[in-house]
Amino acid sequence: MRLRKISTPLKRASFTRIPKTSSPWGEGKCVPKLKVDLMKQAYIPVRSLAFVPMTMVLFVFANLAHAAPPRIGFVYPAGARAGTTIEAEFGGQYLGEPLGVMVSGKGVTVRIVDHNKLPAAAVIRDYRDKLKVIQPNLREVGQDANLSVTARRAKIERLLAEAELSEKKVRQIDQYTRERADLKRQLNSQIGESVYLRIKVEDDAEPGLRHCRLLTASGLSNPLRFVIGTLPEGNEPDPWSFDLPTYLGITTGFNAVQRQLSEKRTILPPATVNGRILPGEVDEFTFKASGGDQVVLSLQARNLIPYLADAVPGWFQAVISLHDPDGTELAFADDYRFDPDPVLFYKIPRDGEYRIRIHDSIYRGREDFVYRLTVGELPFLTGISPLGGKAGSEVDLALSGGNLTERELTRYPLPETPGIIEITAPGEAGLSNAVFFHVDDVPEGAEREENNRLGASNKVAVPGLINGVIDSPGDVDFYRVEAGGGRPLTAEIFARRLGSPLDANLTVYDGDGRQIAWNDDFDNPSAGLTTHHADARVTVKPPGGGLCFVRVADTQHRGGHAFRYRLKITQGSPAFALRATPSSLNARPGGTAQVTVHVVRLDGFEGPIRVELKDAPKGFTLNNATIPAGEDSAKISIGVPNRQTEMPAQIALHGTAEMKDPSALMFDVVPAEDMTQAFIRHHFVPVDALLVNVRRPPE
Amino acid sequence: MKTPFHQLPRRLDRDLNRMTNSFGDVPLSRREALRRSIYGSAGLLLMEPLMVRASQASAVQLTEGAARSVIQIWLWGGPCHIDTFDPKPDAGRAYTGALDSPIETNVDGIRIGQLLPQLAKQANNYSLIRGMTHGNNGHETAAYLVQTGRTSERDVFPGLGAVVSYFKGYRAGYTGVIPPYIVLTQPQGRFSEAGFLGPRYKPFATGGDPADSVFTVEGVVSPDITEQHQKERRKLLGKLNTLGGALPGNATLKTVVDSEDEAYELILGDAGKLFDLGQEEDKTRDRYGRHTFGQSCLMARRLVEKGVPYITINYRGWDTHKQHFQAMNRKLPELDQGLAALLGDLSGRGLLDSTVVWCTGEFGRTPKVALESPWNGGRHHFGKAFSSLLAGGGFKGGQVVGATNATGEEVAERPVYPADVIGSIYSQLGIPADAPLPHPQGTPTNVVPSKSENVPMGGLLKELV
Amino acid sequence: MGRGIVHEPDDHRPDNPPSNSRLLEFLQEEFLAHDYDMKHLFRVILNSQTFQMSSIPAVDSPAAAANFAFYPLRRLEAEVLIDALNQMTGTVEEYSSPIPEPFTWVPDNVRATALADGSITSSFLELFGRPPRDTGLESERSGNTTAQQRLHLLNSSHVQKKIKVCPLVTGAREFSDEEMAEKIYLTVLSRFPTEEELRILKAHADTTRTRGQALAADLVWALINQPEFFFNH
Repeated sequence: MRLRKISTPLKRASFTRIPKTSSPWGEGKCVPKLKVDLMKQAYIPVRSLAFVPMTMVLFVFANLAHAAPPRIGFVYPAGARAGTTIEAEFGGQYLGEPLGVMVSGKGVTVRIVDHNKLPAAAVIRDYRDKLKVIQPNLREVGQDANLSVTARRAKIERLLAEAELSEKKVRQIDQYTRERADLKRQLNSQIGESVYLRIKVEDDAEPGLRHCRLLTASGLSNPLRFVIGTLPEGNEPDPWSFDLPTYLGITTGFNAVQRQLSEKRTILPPATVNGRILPGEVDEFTFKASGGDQVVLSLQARNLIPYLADAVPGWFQAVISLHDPDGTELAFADDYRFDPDPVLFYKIPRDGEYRIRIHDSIYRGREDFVYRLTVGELPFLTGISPLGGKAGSEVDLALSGGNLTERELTRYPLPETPGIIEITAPGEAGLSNAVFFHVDDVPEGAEREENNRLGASNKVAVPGLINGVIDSPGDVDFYRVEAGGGRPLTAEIFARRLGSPLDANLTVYDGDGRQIAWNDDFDNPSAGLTTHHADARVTVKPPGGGLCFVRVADTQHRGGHAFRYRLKITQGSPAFALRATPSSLNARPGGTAQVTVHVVRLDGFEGPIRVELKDAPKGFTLNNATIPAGEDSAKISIGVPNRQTEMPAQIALHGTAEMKDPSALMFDVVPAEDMTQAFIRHHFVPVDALLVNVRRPPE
Repeated sequence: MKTPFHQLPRRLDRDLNRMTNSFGDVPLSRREALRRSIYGSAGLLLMEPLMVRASQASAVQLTEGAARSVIQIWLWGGPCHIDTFDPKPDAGRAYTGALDSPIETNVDGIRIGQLLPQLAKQANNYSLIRGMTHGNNGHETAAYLVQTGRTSERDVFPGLGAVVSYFKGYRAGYTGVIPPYIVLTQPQGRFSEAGFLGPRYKPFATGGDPADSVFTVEGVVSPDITEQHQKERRKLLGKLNTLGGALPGNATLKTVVDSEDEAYELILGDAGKLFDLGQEEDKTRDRYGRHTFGQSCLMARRLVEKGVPYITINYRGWDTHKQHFQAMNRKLPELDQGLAALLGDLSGRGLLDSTVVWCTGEFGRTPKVALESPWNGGRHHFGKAFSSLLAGGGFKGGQVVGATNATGEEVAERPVYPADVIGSIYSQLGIPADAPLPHPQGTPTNVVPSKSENVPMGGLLKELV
Repeated sequence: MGRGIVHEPDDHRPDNPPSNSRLLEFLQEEFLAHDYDMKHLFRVILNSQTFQMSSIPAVDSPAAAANFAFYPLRRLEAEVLIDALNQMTGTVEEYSSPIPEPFTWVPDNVRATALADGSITSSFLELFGRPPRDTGLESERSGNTTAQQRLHLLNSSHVQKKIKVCPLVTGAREFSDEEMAEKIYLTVLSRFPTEEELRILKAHADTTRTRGQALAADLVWALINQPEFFFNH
């Protein structure tokens, strides 16, 4: 039995690059560029809780009847610089009894500081009543001029404690009142609870995208993105701040609101600002720049939280504008090409203090409208050439963009496994943005002009890949394919998925020049983050004789050196892609963990697919799991060990389909999250890993 | 206008108002004179001049209909049909959630949701349309569909209220300073009530809150200003009209003065007393419920007594994607109390036969409860099958039209489309189905879609007549 | 000017000639000579004597309007009116839209004339004829005066609240009645009060025994409700 394997054995040691998956087609953006050491993920082991100082509070709630696993909606700030420790907040639901946080990759440790869930209105009223009772005593403390700040504080805390209150409860009264008094707020219980964290990032932690999940006594949460940066970072000043003595009316004079207004929001580029937009808010920052600076303002918002289930439009669509010292708007950006996150490039005309304004494109806002703004003469890659290469080889890459220190990367080593990877380039101000690069294992070639007519076409091997470019508006490229044997022929474009502005369409002609197939946009459910599925894909029965021609053109009649593409020709190899959702599974010891495996079928492949565990840790079993013929998904049950796991275990699955020729096809199952966009659309967004948490639920 | 009337091209029909108002003193055109003599000047001043061809003026003969008024209770957001008027207790908890035991009504064989006990006691007063369907799940489109009966294409059709205001308002001899089309209390906002009929047929939204100690109808009720003060400053207003003095006889300025006089009739006159709910007995107000919806129902009854042809109560908060059952616990008792009191009161005062009461939302909600995050027990939009309530105006009570399947997810019998309901209401009001609407481009258009418009229709509600 | 040289502007036909063909030709040539620059054309028209004519016609003749012999009275558009009221009283409107989620809240410093979306509206804007942008017809915008509009300006709590916090009213105590009247006339009507008007005001103050802030509030209210305020003239 000849097994055509397109997968990698699970390595216990660290991986080189990404991906852990290996489908011959694109995964989209979310495959993280990181080294994953499967067995040693950053976490707080349960037993070390004993050493955590008193600031960590474990709550035992009376209402544990609802033992739903936690769900986190946002993390703010959504990133940190390597070598720093920051305070952060998870917003979500069912976050009670937090135990620890799993972060993918190395070098990040998290400590839980506190958990906050607003109690019911009746409880708040009770707190208010209790506070009213001790109000006279608090006033006395305030009027006593002889007390030092610490002594006063101690007295306040004692008074509160005697009244069965605490600073935290008073804070909750304030939060409750403020939230309900604010007309613009729409209360969202799914991001209403908070867990406060302290995140420590080591100096040598690899920069890039991580995923973090919260582990509580009720289970493991969904993952959220967290970015490790290389530049100095700061947070937008909090719009409200809580100072206990001020709130209680004990100290006057130092008005928290006044402090807010006087706090300057100045950036010292190159730097990253973490902020968020509340309803109708417009955030402003200033920075000093000199004439001639090639400034790049890059904002990440959708890249942090790709889809919001209950938002319309279905993500935080940020816009940024740059203003000169006189206040005149110089530039405005609401996207970068077709990436919804804006990037603004500007050459500063003269020295001065410049202002940046950020808001949602239609003035919405909410706690989970989190962003990261990076300002400075940042290295920015606008393109890479070629767009891909052969697995296991070394390639020479030409880089285009601004503020780069190198224009080439020579002999860049590519991973052994096919997939889409990310490449960054160095600059003076740290590393650039990542661009996509396609790695595959079929023979490659380069386009040779003139190939603008049927008669002057480039030959492409079957299977084969051609790196080409629509170099000017109206340019078309013709390729000649000799497809013998009668099996269906597939031509596929990799362009938009790799960040190319090309909106390709494919036309297939027979040997006499008659058109036999055409495609402009191919809706690719496995490219979960692409907003416009502009890459074309067409499958056709080859004409008698087997000779046919493939034409590549841009549907929007544009062109230029950035309009690169990769054309892949294959024959008779039906493909499918596998996704597993959710990516955080919870199970009782000795029970089963349920996961749904979805299959995206192409080229008419309708057969059944057998799903198996791949190098599973001890105690995990999977028997007889098959996605039936013609079905899109199947729920499978993975048996879990009899004991609780100290920390969630990572497992991997692969799916095998029996075929005639080759006799079997195997693909890895990519762990993903089923994210809803704007109430209606569903997307499978790939994440770092599939984790299983085995734990007895709380009583 | 040098061209004879009958030779004028159609384009001049539009913007009649521009020609009359944009340049001061112009002698009336023949067209304008014709128009004014048909309608008279009374009541014209509250409204905009018509965007209509004079030849279409009084072409419609209204038949003697049983009903005089319509109260539309708009459940903004879309209420769930299986929690209200079409319960499915056998579908299982995945569908019913906590509301799994519907209650019997005083009509054999009809059961409704368990949170509607008051309505259950008078099921003979209303009928339930369980076969409502239009298939659209977008708020704006579905609201437009349900209230106009048409699909949204090039033209923007007027909603039921504007059409009734057109046929039964000032043109049909409705007099009085209270406008013929009233909204309690905020307009829908995502829906243009008047469509191509123009701003003249927009409703008058009262603003304020009838459950407040003083129902401050914007502009009509201003508790902070004494009547003395109103009169004194009105005198000042008139005296300071320097521009008016410089342009005597100017038609535009005369319109302003006349409009002012009309407005003061409302401010100083008795019409404003209509909105004073303090005139009702406390026990009446309690019966309706001391919340915005309940008191709006009471206000609607008072307006009907005064002869207002169309009243819409916009009842918000039914778009329960999250916290659905908590919201139902709060809102269904309010709906029950207000609507039951309204129907009972209308019936007791002998007004039910002449008042159509139509209670509906733009769609229903998914019968299968969405348990996953972030919904955690919510329901989403569902335009494939939902329910409406229709009462009074000569419609039979105690009937059920149409039925859904065992889970409430499909219409199993007698689908009813929005145009069917609207056409039936028009019919009860005496507006024939082929009554023409004044389309801005002059295309022949009737109040009920004709076959050529390809609007799905199931047939008028003959079962209720 | 409230009226086209060819009226209606889209009704070009042989039996509807321009009221002044030389004027039309002149403007055509200006437009072409300056490379289709609209702003230049506006400048030409707005700087002309014709545009600056008074609304009080010198001649009582129907031909006067067709020949632009006086400036026609035109009611201010809804957006302009609310922006003027806000600017004068130092207040803002909260514009929001429940169509996107979470809801849109337009920042305070955005004027009503700059509202991009037809669905972001207020009851004031709808009342004064701002088009809902349903049909795309220009006639959707209504410039007429209705009793409901008068009702709103005369007696709504919306406008009352604005008058109450208007700096002209709250700062009235510092001035003499005449100074106060002057300031209010200049702000609301962009002109000085006449002797007659001052006399009327004084008579009102004496008969009703109002002074200071109350008198200022009455005057602001009376001027806002003058056609001279809400009409272009």
